[in-house]
Amino acid sequence: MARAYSKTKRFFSFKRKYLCIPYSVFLILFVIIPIFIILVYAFTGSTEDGALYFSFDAFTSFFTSPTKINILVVSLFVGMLNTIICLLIGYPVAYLLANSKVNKNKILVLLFIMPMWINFVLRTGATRDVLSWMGINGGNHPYLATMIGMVYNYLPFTILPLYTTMIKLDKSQLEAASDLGANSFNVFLHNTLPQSLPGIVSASEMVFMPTLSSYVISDTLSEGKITLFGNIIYLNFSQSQWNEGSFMAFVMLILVGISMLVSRHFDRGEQSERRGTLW
Amino acid sequence: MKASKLTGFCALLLLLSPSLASCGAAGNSSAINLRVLNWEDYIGEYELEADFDEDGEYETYPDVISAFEAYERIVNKKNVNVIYDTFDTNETMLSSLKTGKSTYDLICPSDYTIQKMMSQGMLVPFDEGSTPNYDASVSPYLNGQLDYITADDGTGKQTPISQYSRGYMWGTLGILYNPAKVSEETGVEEDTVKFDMADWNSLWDSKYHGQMSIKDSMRDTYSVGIMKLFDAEVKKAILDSGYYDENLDLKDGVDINAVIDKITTDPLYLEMDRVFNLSDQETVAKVEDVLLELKSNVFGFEVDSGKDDIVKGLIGMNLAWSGDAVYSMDRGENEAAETIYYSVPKTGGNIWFDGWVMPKSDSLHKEEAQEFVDFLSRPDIATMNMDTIGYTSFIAGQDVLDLVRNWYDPRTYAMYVYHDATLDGDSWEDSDFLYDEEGELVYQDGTGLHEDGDDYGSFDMTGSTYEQAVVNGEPMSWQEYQDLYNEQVAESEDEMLAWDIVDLTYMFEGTVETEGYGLGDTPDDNPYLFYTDELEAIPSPYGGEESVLAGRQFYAQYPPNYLIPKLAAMKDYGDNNRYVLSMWENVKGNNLPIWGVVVFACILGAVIIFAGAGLVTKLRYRKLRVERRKAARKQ
Repeated sequence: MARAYSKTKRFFSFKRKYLCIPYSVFLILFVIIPIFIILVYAFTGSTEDGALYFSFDAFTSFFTSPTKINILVVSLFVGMLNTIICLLIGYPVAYLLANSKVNKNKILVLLFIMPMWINFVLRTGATRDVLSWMGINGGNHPYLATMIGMVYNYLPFTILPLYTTMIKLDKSQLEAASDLGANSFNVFLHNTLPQSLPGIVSASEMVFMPTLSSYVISDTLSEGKITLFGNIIYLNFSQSQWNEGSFMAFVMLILVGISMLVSRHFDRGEQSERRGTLW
Repeated sequence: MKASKLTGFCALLLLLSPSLASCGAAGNSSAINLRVLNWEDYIGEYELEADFDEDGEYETYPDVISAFEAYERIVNKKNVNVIYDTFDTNETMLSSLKTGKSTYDLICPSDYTIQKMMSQGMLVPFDEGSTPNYDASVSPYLNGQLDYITADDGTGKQTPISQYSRGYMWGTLGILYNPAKVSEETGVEEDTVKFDMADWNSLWDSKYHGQMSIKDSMRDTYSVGIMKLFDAEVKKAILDSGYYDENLDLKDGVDINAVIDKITTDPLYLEMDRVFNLSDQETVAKVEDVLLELKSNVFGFEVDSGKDDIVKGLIGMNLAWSGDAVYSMDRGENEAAETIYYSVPKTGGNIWFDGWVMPKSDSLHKEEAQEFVDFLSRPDIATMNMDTIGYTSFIAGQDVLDLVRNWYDPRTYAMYVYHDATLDGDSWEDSDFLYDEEGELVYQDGTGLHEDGDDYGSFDMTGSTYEQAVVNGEPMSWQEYQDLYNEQVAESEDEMLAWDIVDLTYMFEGTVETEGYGLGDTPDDNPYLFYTDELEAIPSPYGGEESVLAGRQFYAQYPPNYLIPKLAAMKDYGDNNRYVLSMWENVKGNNLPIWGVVVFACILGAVIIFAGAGLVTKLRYRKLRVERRKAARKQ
């Protein structure tokens, strides 16, 4: 009896790691396999009857096209600018929100996060109307309109991780610093800022990478005058240029990888345990 | 509570599912699922009345698709269930068809995509005689166009696409513009704007800087680039043809209908067709320069926001497809009190078609698919589709003729009482002609028909027809009616009637009953001719004899016949597509602007300075630490 029991137990014994199975299946089906397919398409061409063969055509066509490189540079620029502006605006806001005197009941945080509840395509359409009412439109100021739309859309993604880091700031350290004679600027520079670095890093990650691949915002608000990397990938896929499109998607993947590595670098050591975010 | 709701829902599902599967009680247990893939908003969605069993009683159906299901049940004794899906671009449709497992019985792609699908052996031809309604009512000119465009059908033989498709809707690409708005923004006189819009070159004119949005669609904008690039060649071809004078207007005495009859062998058309379909590397490179120039002069690129933007007044000009143009003009006048115009420039332009095709598949319901296409080709159903979507059907025939007369012919307004529903606070869509108890249209009589006392008519028109006016009991021609009106009613020059005649023989010839007509050159005597009051003759503001006709909805839906020889279809680019694509990437892509470079440099500089400063501090501290440790050790 006991032996039979142990046998069943061996067959059915539940381990906590089994809970990962659903997600692993999801991961394999919708993340790993698609990335693999992108890689295959990026480095192949297809003959007329649909057979694939290995080729560097997409590679050479990307690196010999000044337009594609230009579009990439513009995307990087827009992404970087968006990240910096979001941080400049979001950091003080998050600092204030983390102060429980200002932000009683956390209602204010809710207000800042609320735009995320509305579909962003709808929001972008509304932004376009508001901006054109103010006299700014893609016709006269494509970059300005795009940047306003980008910042508006990604600001909540900046504030949220910054806020979660800020509420965990070690207040006693700050008090100690000022007790020991540091003026408020030095307290900020040598204490608050380093303590909130993990928040800054994850906020940047959450803004920079999605900006690179976004295309609805730039398309709508610049009236199609600013083409980002996402647009050009979409254009290639829609014109059945799967190999070129896949290669550019692959380039994007590499860029994302690099930016993750860079952020990891900022994120080593004891600080990382204070990170209150996704990664 | 929750549980009971759930059971209720399940019960409802159970109740619904058999009726969904078999769709009604036609007896036949095996329902045929006809899968149709069409553009969004591209089929009749209004209630319609039809009498399929011909018992004299009209049934009401909620939309065209359910009317077809009923038609199949009643006429063909078949149980057909239409599964209707939509797509948004030819390219996405094509790639989803190639990769996906989904199969359709009918798809409605554009001309060049039909060509492409045919040459890839994806299509099944229609059986000859399988669409009798279509054969009887299709416009002769449009059918000729489908015969003219050919593609390799997989056997190496060039076959006309008319064997593999049945036309559905067609139209032109032109300039939609609001002269009042453009004039307000730029200071150019309204009449000058109207005059300039008859020329593609005006899009490049810096006085219209920032006024216009163009299509964020490779092929359409490329075609405009072609028209600009080959402006001189096209003008020369038009003059060489001998049909047009030096102002590119039709010469007196030229029988343009005879030209259209043999259009596909006409030298002018062939030259237009050749120029329009140039897509070699050299041409594409030149078009790129032209389009880059255009890009710097326009407001922006759009594919679907433009038709609303022009109504809202965000833009003053828009490169538009004729159907969208009709939508904008209707909305403009009914909702925003904006008078918007549409123009196909004098040097001609693009004509496009969408047609039904049957893709190859094992489960193709060919018979039912053909019946569906034939059903849509009934002139009464074609009018229902046109009424909903604003595009122009391939189908002519008496019902369509009546619809066109109702919509556009001023004779209709002269003889019947038009009820403006907006005066009663209803929506403009409810506006319609007045009907009496028997369902007959109510004639104008100007004797207090309206309760609010508005005097709509000036004469008693009882007894009038499109063939003759009957004014206060006295029959006369419609030309005489205009003279009489001008003499007795019109109080100023502006109110004078001077109806132009539009000749749509190319559209309606052979599809309507002409017995009793002399087929002369007045609309009274020829059902192919229409009066119109929407064309405005605009004299040249730059001096000279030239004048242009500015048109609106009627012009957009049915281009006047003098434009027809100058319209060409744009075919599939084939292998040249990659040149056009990379041209389009170059047009859409941007260099980083100067200020961007400066900002970029500043950011990089700041990063380097901070990193350097950090490094120096670190090293200094380390040095201090080392010195301190040394000192400590010494002690």
